[in-house]
Amino acid sequence: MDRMKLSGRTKFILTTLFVLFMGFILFAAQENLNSYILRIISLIGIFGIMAVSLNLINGITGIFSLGHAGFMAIGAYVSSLLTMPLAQKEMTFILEKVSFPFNTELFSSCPFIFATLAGGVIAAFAAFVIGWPTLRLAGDYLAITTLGFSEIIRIFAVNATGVTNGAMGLKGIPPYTDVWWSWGWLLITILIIGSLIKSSYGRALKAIREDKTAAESMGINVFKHQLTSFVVGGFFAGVAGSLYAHWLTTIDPKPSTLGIMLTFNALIMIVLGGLGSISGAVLGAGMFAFFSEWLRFVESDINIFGFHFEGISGMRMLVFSGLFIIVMIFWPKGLMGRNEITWDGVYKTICKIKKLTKTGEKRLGISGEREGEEL
Amino acid sequence: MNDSSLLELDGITMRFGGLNAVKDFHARINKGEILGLIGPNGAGKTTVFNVITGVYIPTEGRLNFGGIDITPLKPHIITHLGISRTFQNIRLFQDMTVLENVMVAMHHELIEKRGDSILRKNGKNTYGASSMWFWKSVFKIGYLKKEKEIEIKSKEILEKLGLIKYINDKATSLPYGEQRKLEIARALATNPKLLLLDEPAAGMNPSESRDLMNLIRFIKDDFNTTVFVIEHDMKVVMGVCERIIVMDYGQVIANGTPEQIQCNSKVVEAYLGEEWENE
Repeated sequence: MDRMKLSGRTKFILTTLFVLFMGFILFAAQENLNSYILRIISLIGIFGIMAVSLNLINGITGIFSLGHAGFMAIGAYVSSLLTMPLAQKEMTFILEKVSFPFNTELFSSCPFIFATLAGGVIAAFAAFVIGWPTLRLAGDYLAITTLGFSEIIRIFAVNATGVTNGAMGLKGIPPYTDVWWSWGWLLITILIIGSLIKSSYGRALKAIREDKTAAESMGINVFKHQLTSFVVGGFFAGVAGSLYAHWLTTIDPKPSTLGIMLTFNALIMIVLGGLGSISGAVLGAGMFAFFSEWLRFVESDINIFGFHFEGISGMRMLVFSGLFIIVMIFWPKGLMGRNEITWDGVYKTICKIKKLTKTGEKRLGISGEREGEEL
Repeated sequence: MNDSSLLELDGITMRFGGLNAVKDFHARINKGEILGLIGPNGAGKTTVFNVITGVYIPTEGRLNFGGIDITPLKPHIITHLGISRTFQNIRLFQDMTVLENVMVAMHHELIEKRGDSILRKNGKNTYGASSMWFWKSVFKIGYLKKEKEIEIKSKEILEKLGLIKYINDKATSLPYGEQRKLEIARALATNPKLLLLDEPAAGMNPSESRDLMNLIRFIKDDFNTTVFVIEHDMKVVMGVCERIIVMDYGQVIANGTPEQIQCNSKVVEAYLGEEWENE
């Protein structure tokens, strides 16, 4: 067993090299690819943050929360209001003048990093406020209440015209999100949540997922740990929301933009990748973003054997659902299950492949000899 | 409260609606003894354990644990103060490895600040818990050393209970008897002064339950704990317990050494029914 393990230092060096390699790939992509593909790449990063943070709440701690889009909406609105220039705000808010803190020069045209952090912090605070009453519930009841709270946030956005411009939404948000921002934040998210999961806290969270009563009897304050997980997840959801808003450049409180659809998309990503696995969540997010774009070709007009089929818009979601069902049949626990892609795992696989080729060579050698004998 | 007693249950009554699961229960657990709790099914034995560990707050009565009133405290704080338990139906963290199962039981030493302050107030040893451990463990500042310590301590416990060979296996993949043992190992990892075992021999064959008896004695001496055990297997109870409390219908009906219990007419009555004399 121990022969197949790598030392901590080797792993650290490998991880650093991998991050640098990814950075190089992103750099090359930015130099060579067109802006459409670059936008998809940054969307993968955003979805990755969304999935990894929801995975901490749903997959690791076992809190079945459906309120993720609510936190993202808070992050999106807070950060957009902070980064939008004052002139743009005056142009956008036609129903009602923008209200106090955001109508000053200080709270406009802020740096993106500051706006994103603020969005994350406010979303984390919202997670704390929502988690305090709801985390006393469990299972389906928790799912319904968190869903309700995220709808409340959305409906608040519809009605608080002075802050959110109501149903008109915010327009002209500076398009700050590029591959560096989204993948940089994805890296930070993975590092922090991964580090949390690998610590004693992570073990406690997993214990809560496995058996609440037993966890409590082993000295774990279940409520406090669930709340911690909820708040950390909420923070990164806020960050993802901020990046998403600066990627879309217009946001509005429709269910399809920052509402329930987003929660379900995030849920699909983590179930696809495997509940309880960070690498699975990133994989799921990547696949989701990739397929929902790549499958656009099924919506265009198609000519098959001279027959002309008119494109049906929305067809790709149908195909996507079919793909999703197939994945669920063959990998009921998601693509990764609860496993992670680790350097140890990669090393083991390489060793196995080496062994296989070696034994294969031996077999070939033996058969060669036999052939020789026959001859 | 005198020096020799560890836990005193003073007039515990636990009512669920109209049902009196436990009625005016008095008991004293002395330091360093192996105490048995027996009784027919539905006598309220597990309810007593649930009251001690804080799962239920008793309707009436007080619990005094080494000078600390633990009646209103939450389960995790009671565990931190030094009472740990196993469950009647095995409740391991199934998807975690054997080592993780034991390591997770030491988590409270890092973070349970409230438990620490109760210990400090009563002049007991504290663990030095701090909420800073959240940030320390996320950013790995001085955390890896602590992690190593926890790992070494966990391995020691697993070594002593003979589970070291399963260390990286999933908890569910263990044979039944070993899962029972792992549950005891996990309970011991919380560093208990009082260990509550809820039917540890349930589902074990005779040779396994013989091993269990030796294990219970070994734990008492080696980990310096007091053991309070619910058990239906009379061989185990009579073989290992120094003193036995018998319960029926939520009340104590007898209290004494195994020999005394065996000839107690009330106990015989509770188990076998009234003697019917033919005149």
